[in-house]
Amino acid sequence: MASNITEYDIDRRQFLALTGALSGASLAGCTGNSDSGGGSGTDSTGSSGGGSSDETVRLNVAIASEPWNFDPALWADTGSSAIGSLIYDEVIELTPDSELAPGLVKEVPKPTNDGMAFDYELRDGLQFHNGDEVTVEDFKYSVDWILNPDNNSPIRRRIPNVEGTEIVDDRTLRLNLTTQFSTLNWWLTRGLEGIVQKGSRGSASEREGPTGIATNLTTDPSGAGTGPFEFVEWNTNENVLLKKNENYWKEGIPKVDEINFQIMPEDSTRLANLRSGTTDLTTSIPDKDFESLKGDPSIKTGTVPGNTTEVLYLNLMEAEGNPMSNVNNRRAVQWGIDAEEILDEIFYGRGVAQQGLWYPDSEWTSPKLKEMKMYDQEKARRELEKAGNPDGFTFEMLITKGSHLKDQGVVIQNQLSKIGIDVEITTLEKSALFDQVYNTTDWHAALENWTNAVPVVTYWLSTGFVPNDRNHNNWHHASPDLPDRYAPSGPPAPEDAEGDFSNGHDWYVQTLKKAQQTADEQEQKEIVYRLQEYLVENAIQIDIAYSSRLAAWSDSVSDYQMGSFASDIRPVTKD
Amino acid sequence: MSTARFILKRLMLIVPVLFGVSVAVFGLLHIAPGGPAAVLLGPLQNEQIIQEVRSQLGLDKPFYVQYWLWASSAIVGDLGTSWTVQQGTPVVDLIKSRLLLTFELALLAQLLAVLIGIPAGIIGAVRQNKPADHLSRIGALSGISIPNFWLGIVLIMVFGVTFNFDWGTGGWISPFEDPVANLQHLILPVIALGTARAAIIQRMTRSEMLETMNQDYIRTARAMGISEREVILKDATKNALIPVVTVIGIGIGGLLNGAVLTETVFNLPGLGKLFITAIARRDFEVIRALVLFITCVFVFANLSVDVLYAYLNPKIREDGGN
Amino acid sequence: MTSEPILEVENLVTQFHTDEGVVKAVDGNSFSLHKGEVLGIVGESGSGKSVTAMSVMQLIDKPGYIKAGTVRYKGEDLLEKSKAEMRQIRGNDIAMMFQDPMTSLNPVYTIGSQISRVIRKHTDASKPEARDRTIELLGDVGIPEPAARVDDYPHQFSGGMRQRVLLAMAISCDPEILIADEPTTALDVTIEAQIFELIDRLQEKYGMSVILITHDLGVVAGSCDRVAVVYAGRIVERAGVEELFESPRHPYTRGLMRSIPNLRSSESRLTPIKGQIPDLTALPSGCSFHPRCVHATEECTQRDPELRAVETNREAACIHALGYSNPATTRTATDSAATDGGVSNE
Repeated sequence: MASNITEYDIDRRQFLALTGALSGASLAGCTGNSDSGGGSGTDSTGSSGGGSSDETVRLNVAIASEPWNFDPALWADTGSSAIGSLIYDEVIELTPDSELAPGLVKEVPKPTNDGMAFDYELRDGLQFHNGDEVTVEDFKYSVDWILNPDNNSPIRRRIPNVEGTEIVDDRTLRLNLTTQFSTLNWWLTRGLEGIVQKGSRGSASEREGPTGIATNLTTDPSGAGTGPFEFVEWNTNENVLLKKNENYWKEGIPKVDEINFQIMPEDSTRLANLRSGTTDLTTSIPDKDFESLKGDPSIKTGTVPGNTTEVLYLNLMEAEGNPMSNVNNRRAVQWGIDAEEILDEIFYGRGVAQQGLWYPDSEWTSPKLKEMKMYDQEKARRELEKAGNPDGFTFEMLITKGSHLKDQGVVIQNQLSKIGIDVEITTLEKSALFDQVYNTTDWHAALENWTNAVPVVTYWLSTGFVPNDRNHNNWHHASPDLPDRYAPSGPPAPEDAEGDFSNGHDWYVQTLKKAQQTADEQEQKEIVYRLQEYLVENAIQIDIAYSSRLAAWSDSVSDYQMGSFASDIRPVTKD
Repeated sequence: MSTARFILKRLMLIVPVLFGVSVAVFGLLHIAPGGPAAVLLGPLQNEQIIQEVRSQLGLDKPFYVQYWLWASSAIVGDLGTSWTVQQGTPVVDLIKSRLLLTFELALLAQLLAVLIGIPAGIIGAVRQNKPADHLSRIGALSGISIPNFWLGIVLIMVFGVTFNFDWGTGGWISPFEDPVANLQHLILPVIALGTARAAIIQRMTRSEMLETMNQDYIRTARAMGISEREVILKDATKNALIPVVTVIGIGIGGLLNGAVLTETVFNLPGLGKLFITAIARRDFEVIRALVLFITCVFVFANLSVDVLYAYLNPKIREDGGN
Repeated sequence: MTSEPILEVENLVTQFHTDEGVVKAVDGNSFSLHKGEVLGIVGESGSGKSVTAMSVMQLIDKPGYIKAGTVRYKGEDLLEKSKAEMRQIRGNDIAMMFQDPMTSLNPVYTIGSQISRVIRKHTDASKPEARDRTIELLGDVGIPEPAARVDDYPHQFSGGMRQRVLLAMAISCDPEILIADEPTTALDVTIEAQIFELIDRLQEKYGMSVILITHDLGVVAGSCDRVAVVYAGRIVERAGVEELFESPRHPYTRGLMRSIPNLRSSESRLTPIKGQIPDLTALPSGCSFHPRCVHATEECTQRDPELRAVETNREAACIHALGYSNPATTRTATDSAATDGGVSNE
């Protein structure tokens, strides 16, 4: 019933204009975009404040899942950062056009020190909601806290390759790297989502509850942020209320006086509230209900291509009865799935079928993959023969209960049955499914959707693939950090690989590191193509399609900026 | 045995019941897949961090140690702080802030159910097989068959959307702030929740009344010239209601159950919704505390029913004394 | 007794429309009750005697209804009265008590409240007055320590005691007529004697007329002044009690007499009437009794005999009624020993 899609490794920015900026999301030299595009704030028309001066203009936004906390160092999920991003400011922002823009810093820096450091200079005149000035010590404290392993911050890994911070002058903080890493700024759009006052997280002894899980800011960030809205109250299961920051450093926004996030896990309740006017805006809309909303004259809708992929994870490990450890079986499934049909049946024709991991129109997608026919029953049947089961085989597909994925799973089941592959669908509660897929070897395939918030292809190639102890597909190589219960798995390294690799995963991890470190764009592209092709040739996982982002709002609301990776609610006005 | 002793004896049974229930819940949570750390930190999180957090939450200790630690503070009223629902907030506060809503919802729904169900049952029995009876039987059947969350959604669509009543889409205001608005917001949820209960009560009352009306003592009353109205309302009803009361009492479980669904659909921040959130987020502290709380409610409800039953049925009263 | 009749029932017809057919429970009965007398209505179970009484009280409910007849009480036809008027009469002028004391009292109210309520319904007594009267009545019917027991519940009394309570309830408003429907069937023989003795006493004290419905001829002999014998919904014989026992005229009555155990009889076996009572939805043609009657002739299958006088103050519904004397004392020439059962007393 509740489409409580709490997605991980996602930030609240949601939309991207597909053609334009993806090509621009290059790896090297991306820092040149420091001052371009930028927020919708500078484009906003005239008047500051919102609505009539007598009444408080409150924008009601319905969300499907409850936030977890209000400390940027603890945001492992979308729900919290969607709201939190209005209370805090990011150090580096991602615009709705998927470009980098300076947030709390004056400009998006290029690397210095032979690429081994980045210097970030704070703007002038920044204030916390409690009135105190923002200093470089606060900046250092905020970053150090996340980097400190004792704090167990769940987003530590979003600031990779940084060994420490250093105050350069009274407005500038330097981040020192352990290796060249040109895309750091893109990672920071999700890694540094706010600066807090020095000491405001509390000390280890003061905190109640386990460290890393709760800080002083967790439930009550009053006065702690710098953002366009100030925290008023959080009533669990009910709402989060924010009010306008009158002293916001960006001119002209926000326009509304208050934002009230209404927590409504139930789809139909959200929609009913939207229709009746109790809710002004929502972005959590099931596809089938979107159609009927489009027909409602008092409601405006918007759709943009999204950054969520519908993906079938596959257990690569050898285990009792697991047909997916066989590469030919995996490839058979891959060629047997018709992504276009899924988009038609489930998503009403919206979305983009994938040709491998990255957006098919981007220059960062391998040309070889662009040409490849992804749905090919003949190829699939040949794979089945190679696998030794020409008449097909049976596997179990895990799906989260109560989600639209079930319908999708049924379509896939239908498609695969045509080539003799029988799919048994098992629905599980979300936590139970995660436990089974990420903590055990006792599964075959899981149909999920996954959102990545950073529009950089190496980020996508990394998240969910690289960590040896835990990734989407039980893909492991022998190494000291491999937990006992796992064994190396997956196909071998490619034949033309240079060097000694214990298996494919080993090769993949090393090769990706090279791509992230090199400054030559052409070289990077070639490595990236190679990695993408490897993933598809070996059907490590099956990336089906990108689904679109949907939003609907009442006609009294305007200026909501939708983007594929990041949306901006700050300039919204309401009559 | 006097009523006081009877009640006291029953109250003492709460202790072993709570013990048993809490051990069972503890055990189940222990076995259930996924845990608060995994849920909180995300599936791709570093193994080491997850284990760290688990051990800080005490989840790596042996089962009985965990139980002892929890139980020893629970007894003195310290039910811990929430791990994942609203991190750091004392569980007792979370429950307290929601108690009023769920209690009010359940109470009003039960009231509605009784106020509709019993008279409808009596009418159905007295006008057996006449239009009034058929109508109320169809009504009862629908009430039982229609899932209350579906009914809730329909009510929202009709009243909230079509007629645009702004209290028609859920939400809640404390009765201390604004009693009128409070009741307005509760009308639809109470209807959604109470209808099924009303239906059950109606059927039970009707069948009990039919049986009672055939009893010999009804014949005696009529033979003595007592008006039909008095015969129905006085002689028959008191007898018929005895089993109905037990059904009502046992049904309180169903009421709490339905409250969960109703609160979700109407977006009411009550105990039911808290429970769902806590389960999805594996917040053991909140789950345990809620289970204890609900157990107590059950025990009291059953106790009240028994006391009421004894009051209504003199035979039980006397037997209790012998 | 030659007092005036206070209740006159004429051609009462009560039927039940069931799925199996129309049950003619009371098929045109007439009888009268005289002031101060005890009228016994005798018959087997299912013969319609209870229904007769219930019809008088108009306690008949669907699927039964009173089809025809008149019930004259104090000159007025009760069947013409409205429901409200009948309620005034029930419990007040005419009171009825039933045969199942164990279930005839409401288990969740005290006996005192159940009796007091009736009193307050029909009189303008106040609560304390009604309560006093109730205690007095309980004493009258022989409940020991009535003041202590007035607040007890029915389950705290034995069967016999409960019947006394019901009796108290019945006479609580000084009814002119008491209808007792098999009051002792569910009780022990010793209690039975007490109950009848009580009824006798109360009847004298309060000057009531009583209709006593029973299947027990012994009770009839002991308590009644006049008797009406009912078979298959019809009254087949009416007589004073002594005459009835001395010389029953209807073959059915005679059959009943023969089936009473007789200490002086040399027979070691009782003589039941052969056959069974007929299905009231499908009565035999002609005389309802003819299939079981040893004296039945061809004519009996065709003619439905009416109740007609065979002597003064005696009626029987049999075309062969005249000419039979007490089979206990004589045998006629036409009797055949075998078919008659051959009981000879003295």
